[in-house]
Amino acid sequence: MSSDQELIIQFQQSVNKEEVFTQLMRKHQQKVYYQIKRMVLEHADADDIAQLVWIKVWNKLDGFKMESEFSTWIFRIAYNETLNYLQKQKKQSTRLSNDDLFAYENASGSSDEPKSTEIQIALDSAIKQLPEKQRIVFMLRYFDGYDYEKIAGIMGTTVGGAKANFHQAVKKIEKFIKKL
Amino acid sequence: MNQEKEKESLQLDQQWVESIVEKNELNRFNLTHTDAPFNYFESFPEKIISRIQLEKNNTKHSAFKILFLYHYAKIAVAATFILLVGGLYLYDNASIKKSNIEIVSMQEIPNEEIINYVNNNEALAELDLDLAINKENAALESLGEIEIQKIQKAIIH
Repeated sequence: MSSDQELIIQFQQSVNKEEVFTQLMRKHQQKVYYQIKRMVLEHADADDIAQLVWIKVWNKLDGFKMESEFSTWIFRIAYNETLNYLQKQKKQSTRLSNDDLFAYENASGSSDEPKSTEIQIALDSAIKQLPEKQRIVFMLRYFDGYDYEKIAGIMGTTVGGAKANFHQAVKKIEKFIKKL
Repeated sequence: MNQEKEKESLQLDQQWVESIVEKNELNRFNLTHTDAPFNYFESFPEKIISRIQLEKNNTKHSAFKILFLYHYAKIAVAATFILLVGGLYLYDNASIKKSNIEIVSMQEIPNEEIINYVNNNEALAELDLDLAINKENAALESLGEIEIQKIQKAIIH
């Protein structure tokens, strides 16, 4: 598979635009989708936003100057679109409904383990209480293994800000767990 | 070198997090591999391309509509203007012709005809005059003495 840069150049030269764009989508669609889903939790919402994101990318890709990585650029668009969506829906990521908690509980992990241990409840609360930015930074850092520069690029913040958000998130989780 | 440093930093961060919470517990929040519906990612690109094509066609139709309407609007305005100007011109011409016809007709009538007309209609004119006089006389006869005196005074003064 061609690199992102090669695909973008082909796209910008109007060479088989749709085919090239499809290749770009196959490379990045999962990560984009999961990034969005971490913020909105429901598949239907994540799907809607993901579609908006990719259509926006199609419209703007001709003007993309490759000053940053394509993945950083698209994740930035996804992050902003999700925030816009949440604002419109008047949802706050720290205020999760019982359905959302249920979604969290059934997300992954071993099905053999008990689902309502104290530590799980505490962790649920900890994640629930994290401000949106801290939660996203925490997810991107811990689960996706992104460096702070990439996270800063996605969130539109500084490297220092991304680090601070991550460390704050971890401290809050620690505080919640220690209460047990 | 930077990549290695970053890798090290990431490992330290992860270890720090895992010292607080077990990895298994944290994995429950890693919404990455079990949360999309079956076949979602296989069909997603096609869905997006279809949507893009649809939006492109709608844009073309909109542009065509706007162009067509704009073109049509221009023609409509021009036609209205022409009708207005033409209508005014025709109306104006018709008025002028009418008055001209009258003038020309009057001027063109020979004197003999005019005299004949007057002579032929003199009798009728006398009749009309008599009728008018009789009518006025009848009106005067119905007036009372006091009213007659008032009228006489008004005439004298």
